[in-house]
Amino acid sequence: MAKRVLIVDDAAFMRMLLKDIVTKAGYEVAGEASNGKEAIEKYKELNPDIVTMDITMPEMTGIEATKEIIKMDPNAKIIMCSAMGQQMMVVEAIQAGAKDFIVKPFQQSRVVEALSKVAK
Amino acid sequence: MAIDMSQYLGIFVEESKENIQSLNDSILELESNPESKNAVDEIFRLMHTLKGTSATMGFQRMSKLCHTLESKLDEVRSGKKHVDESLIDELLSGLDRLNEAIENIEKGGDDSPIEKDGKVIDNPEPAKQKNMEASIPDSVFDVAKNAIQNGFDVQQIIIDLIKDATMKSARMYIVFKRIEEDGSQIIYSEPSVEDIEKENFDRRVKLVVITKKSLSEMRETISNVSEIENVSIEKFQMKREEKRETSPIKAAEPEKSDAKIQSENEKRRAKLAKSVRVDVEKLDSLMNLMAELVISRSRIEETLKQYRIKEMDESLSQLSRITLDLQSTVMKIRMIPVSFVFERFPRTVRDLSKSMNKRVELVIEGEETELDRTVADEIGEPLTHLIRNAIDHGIESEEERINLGKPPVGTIKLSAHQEGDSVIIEVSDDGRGFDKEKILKKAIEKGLIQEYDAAKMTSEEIFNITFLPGFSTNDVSTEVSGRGVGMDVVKNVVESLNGSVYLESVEKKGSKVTIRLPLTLSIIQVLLVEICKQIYAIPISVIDSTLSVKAEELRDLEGMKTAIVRNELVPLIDMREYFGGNVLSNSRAELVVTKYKGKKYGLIVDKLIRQQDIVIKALGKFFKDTKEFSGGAILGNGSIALIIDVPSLVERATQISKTALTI
Amino acid sequence: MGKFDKPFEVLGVKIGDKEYAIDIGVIGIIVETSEIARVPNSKNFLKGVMNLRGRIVPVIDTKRITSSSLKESTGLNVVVTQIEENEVGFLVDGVTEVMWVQPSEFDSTIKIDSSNYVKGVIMKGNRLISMLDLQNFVRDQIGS
Repeated sequence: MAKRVLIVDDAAFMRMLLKDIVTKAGYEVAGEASNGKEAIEKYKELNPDIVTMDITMPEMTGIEATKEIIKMDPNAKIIMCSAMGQQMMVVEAIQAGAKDFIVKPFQQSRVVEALSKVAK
Repeated sequence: MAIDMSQYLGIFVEESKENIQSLNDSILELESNPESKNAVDEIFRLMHTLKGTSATMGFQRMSKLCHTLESKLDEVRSGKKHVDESLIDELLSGLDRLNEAIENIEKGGDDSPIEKDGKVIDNPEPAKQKNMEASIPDSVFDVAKNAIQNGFDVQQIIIDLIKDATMKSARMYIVFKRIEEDGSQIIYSEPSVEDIEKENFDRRVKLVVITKKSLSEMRETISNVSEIENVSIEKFQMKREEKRETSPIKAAEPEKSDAKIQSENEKRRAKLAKSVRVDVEKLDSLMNLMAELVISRSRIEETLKQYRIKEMDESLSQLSRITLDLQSTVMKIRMIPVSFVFERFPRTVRDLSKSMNKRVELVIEGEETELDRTVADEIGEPLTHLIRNAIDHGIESEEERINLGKPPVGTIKLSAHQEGDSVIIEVSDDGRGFDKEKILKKAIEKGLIQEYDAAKMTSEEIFNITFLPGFSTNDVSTEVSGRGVGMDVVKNVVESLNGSVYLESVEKKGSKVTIRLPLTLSIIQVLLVEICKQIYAIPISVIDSTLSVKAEELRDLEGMKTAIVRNELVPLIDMREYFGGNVLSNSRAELVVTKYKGKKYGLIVDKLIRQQDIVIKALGKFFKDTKEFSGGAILGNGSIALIIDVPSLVERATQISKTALTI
Repeated sequence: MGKFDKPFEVLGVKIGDKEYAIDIGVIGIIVETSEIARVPNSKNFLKGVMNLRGRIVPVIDTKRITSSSLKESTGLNVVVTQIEENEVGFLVDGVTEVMWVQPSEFDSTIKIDSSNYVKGVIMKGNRLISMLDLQNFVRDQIGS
């Protein structure tokens, strides 16, 4: 059964891009969220196998959302989506429990590698 | 929004060159003193700096190479590796490659010379992995030993990130976290955690981990992190058991030296902030302007003197003072210590003596002596040639030396000191010296001299033959000095700098080449004198005294005029005669007493005019055979004063009187 | 003789009672002779050095490199040339004119002056002007 992925990003374009990569790699897109708060709600609602989490988002950042989700589900598999120069935030997110990160601009192969390694 | 790094390229190249030179010095220092912790620390620090700056500039190959070399030093620092010849060789050849890279970068290229030579291996081979334990501090072995006794497993792990890994530091953070999440403990990492945090590493991280996991479980844990190309895990090897006793001290040392390095770095930084780099061209133009200013000042002085305006006197003397100060300041700016030239020679000597299988020690003295930048720039090549000569032709092979009862290691001495307005540089060796017979034979063969002349020649004259174009004493031309560059090149360069060169040699004992160079090329203090209605300048630096004597006090002694000056019989050169003018019979003669090679010579002139600062200008190639003058100066009134080169004048004048005597 | 296939421009100068020509290409400036400092013990064709705008320039006694008579001359002008980075002044007794020389007016096979540094004769009507080869002169002196 294909693993289900929740895509969190405030930019519709990035969500579209990730959706494309994710489905092509054989995963199922469980749903989308455009900010941290929405991500938490969707996580509760959809219980996805993997989350791709953008860091900078309105309302609630990806890091805070990660912390909340890990509180609810310590085994949540969250991959941070970061931009160049956000290394410190990435480290913070990993401390909070994120499993991996990918760096924009996304390279399909990297995204797929991260998904498959996290999915194990 | 990448920062344009190209604007920093100039300073990067400059600084890297300095660092490479300093590295060179320190490595050689380490070679002669393998126990020197300072040298190790210094090399480490410089390598580290170079690694960082080259990485920042995007020169990954350089950075990588520095890293490799740096880790060697780290092994030494932690007492895991000893300084031996192979290490020194490795460091030096690494340095050569860094140098090539910098030179290429300077020419507008990149650091590709490093990889092109195939000397840096992208993925250090597994053999290096085995060496890993060499770099690990003893304290780690202690902990590991303990852990094993308590039933843990100790593994050493080498992780290579993929080539274009992003956010390497965050990536490694995940790795560390994964390992430790599973109850394992990382007891050692190379590079250090700090360096990893600062992303001060290329792709490879080595770890020592205490764990209950099996090797394959550990592999699984780490490989599950993305962007990792390769993981190799093996049991940590406890070696070095025999060295245990000393471990507590040794383990403590690296920290101490870290602190020291830091403070040295700070010192260096502080010094850097206070100095400014100036293009030599700007200094040259400053010097030229300075020269113009000196001339204008003299001109104003001269003009104003005719009007005797009292009110001007003070301003005028102030102007003089200021110009004088300014002049000496500008000159000082241009002065650099001769170590700037000398610092390359330890390496030259090392490499040459090695390639020729001779044992040579280089002794350097007076490297703090300062000389003009332009002179320094030019003198390097002739000195290199003299040193090559000394090693190639001078110093004998070890057996030969032992047979001769000489110390097995030959000595080449390079020294510098200031003497008045000159800087004296001497290159001497305790080798076999120049063979007069051989010189003569070769000179006759090459048609440089006639056979019948040979018998009459003095040692000095014979040695002077070696300075003639195309002369070389060695029968077999070697790789080193047989390149068609002869002593004549040395002579040419030195003379073009208004200097002189002089060779002394004692057979079987050694030889010495003395180079005399002007301290500065441009401004000197002179005494202006009149000879046959023309004005000449005599450098103050060679003047002993001036006096006026009655004509009847002059005597002829063996064909030369002499006078008693302060109870000393001083030979005189009648400049009026020597310069081919009319000697007016005067009741008095004005003498300028000069010093040359420790002896006094009096010059008879018509009139003493005054002391003045002048700017030396070359007379040009047409006058290259007229050695009596080292140049000319333009005076305030626009006329030219020729500057008398007293040593050459004395040489020539005394020679003439000698021949006059024998005829 | 490639160069002389085309018309070329020269400066006519007087040395003693004869007229010589100097290739205009090497001439930098012509000045009235000012003070020339004699340099004792230098080659006899060297008149000395002069101050040209703060530079020390050697002055060649041009008549000594030609076979013109060594009678006292006025030495009115110095033709300052630039030859292979060397600024060299040539003392002359006056300048006549700048003129174009047609290839037909120049003959390198005839010499009315036996000097090594004369490379032919320019014939302008009934004027015979010796063409000086100053480049060669400077090269010889500096090279040796």
